[in-house]
Amino acid sequence: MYMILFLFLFLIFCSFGVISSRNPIHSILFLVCVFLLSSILLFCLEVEFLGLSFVLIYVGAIAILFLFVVMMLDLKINDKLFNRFRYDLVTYFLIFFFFLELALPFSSLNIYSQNLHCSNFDWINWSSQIETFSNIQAIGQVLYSYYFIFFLLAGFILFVSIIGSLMLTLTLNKAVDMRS
Amino acid sequence: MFFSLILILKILLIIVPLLLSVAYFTLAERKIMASIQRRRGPNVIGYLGLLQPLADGLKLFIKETILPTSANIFIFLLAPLLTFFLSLMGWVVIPFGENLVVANVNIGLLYLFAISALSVYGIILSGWSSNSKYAFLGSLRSASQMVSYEVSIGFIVISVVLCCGSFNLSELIFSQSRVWYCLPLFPMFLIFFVSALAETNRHPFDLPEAEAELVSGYNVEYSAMGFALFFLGEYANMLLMSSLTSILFFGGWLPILNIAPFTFIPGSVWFGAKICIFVVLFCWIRAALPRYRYDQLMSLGWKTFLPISIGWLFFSSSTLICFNFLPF
Repeated sequence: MYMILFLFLFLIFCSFGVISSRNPIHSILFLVCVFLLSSILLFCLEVEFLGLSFVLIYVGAIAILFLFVVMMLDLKINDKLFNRFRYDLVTYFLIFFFFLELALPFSSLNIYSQNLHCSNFDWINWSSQIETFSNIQAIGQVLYSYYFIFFLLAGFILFVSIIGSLMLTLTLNKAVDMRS
Repeated sequence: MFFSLILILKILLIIVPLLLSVAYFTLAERKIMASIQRRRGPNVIGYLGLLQPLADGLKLFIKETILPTSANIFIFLLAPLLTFFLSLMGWVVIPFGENLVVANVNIGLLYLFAISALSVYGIILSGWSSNSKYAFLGSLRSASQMVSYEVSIGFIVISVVLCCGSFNLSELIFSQSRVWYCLPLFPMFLIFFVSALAETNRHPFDLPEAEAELVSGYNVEYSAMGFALFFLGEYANMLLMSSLTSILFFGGWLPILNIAPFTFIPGSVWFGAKICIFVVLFCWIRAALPRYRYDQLMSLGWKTFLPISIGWLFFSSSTLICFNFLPF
């Protein structure tokens, strides 16, 4: 119980770190922390497969690509730009609204709050509700039957992105090198 | 209270023998390479040089820890710790015998894969934080090598899992009780072993070791315990990869034949023997083969191994469907 509250607080601290740290590498490392903590949160909900695939895909592949790109770019931290647009004020304003949205279901203003029972952090044991299936089987049965069209669409979107990245590296016109 | 005490005892019972075997792995490597090159190898400290790894550890421990100027100290100190801990974390799901495993989780193989994906961070952070061009370029080199070979390893693991029907490592071994997967999936075994060499930054893909031409790699700025932690993590990863190879393709704790003289030997001894074979193979390859150039390494990973492993995945899945061999 207290562990989960501590986890939440640490998660919020790390996501503040993503937007408030000046060094881009530090903010990516905070982002990695956020991904790891949210996968631990999924583990607490007993959705192990999703948690591990979070780690595999976001932390193991995407964040490493981010790190690569940011490390190799010659980034100078420009404080003037930050000051001119008052980025921090805008972000904190947005954060306030997001928090308001998150807090709304728990507050008494919400008419559905009686039905939600979220106030005492009563975690639902998902895997025990689907007793005979393991995590992966349950996801597979839903994904390949009811939602197969979305699965195919996601595959097509990835395919389009592959073709796009291939087009960027092709040299159709010898005079103009697209890679440079 | 009692439960947590048992848990701590279990963890210590894995970590202490692991660190001992890492220490003697280094000695075995030096001895095997020496005998291949017709030398004696370390033979001064202790009987036949058996205490040499302890002396090496002591030497590294009492050296001075140097922190480079204008390095990012926190990340600089974090990176070797991360590498070391991640190399220990994988061992929690490895079954050493029947029911001899700390956490018999349902998705053990995915867990191992996630751990090996995370261990790239130790390398990339150490290179960036030491504020040196050589370390930085070396870390980018090693990290991209590890990431690119991870892809083909993933496809090979998927084709093994298709044959078994579970991500659980114990069930994977039980499913090999009739035939080890190294026979039906022999090409995949070869590719997996070569990719494991590249994944652990090992010969013939050991660009971080190339001191003369590439100024070593991500760990040039490290000394004393930081270097020792990288070293320990690297060798523990090698042991983990060889145990994973023996679990995926050589039936883990299963004996060679399931008849009387072989079944008297306990399963963990079989498992240890299989790991030892791969350890010797690691050392032998280091002594025998020349180093790959970096572009050759990358083209081998992306243009040879990845298409073959994807093709084999299609082949094995369609074979399984055709003959109705699917295990679920």
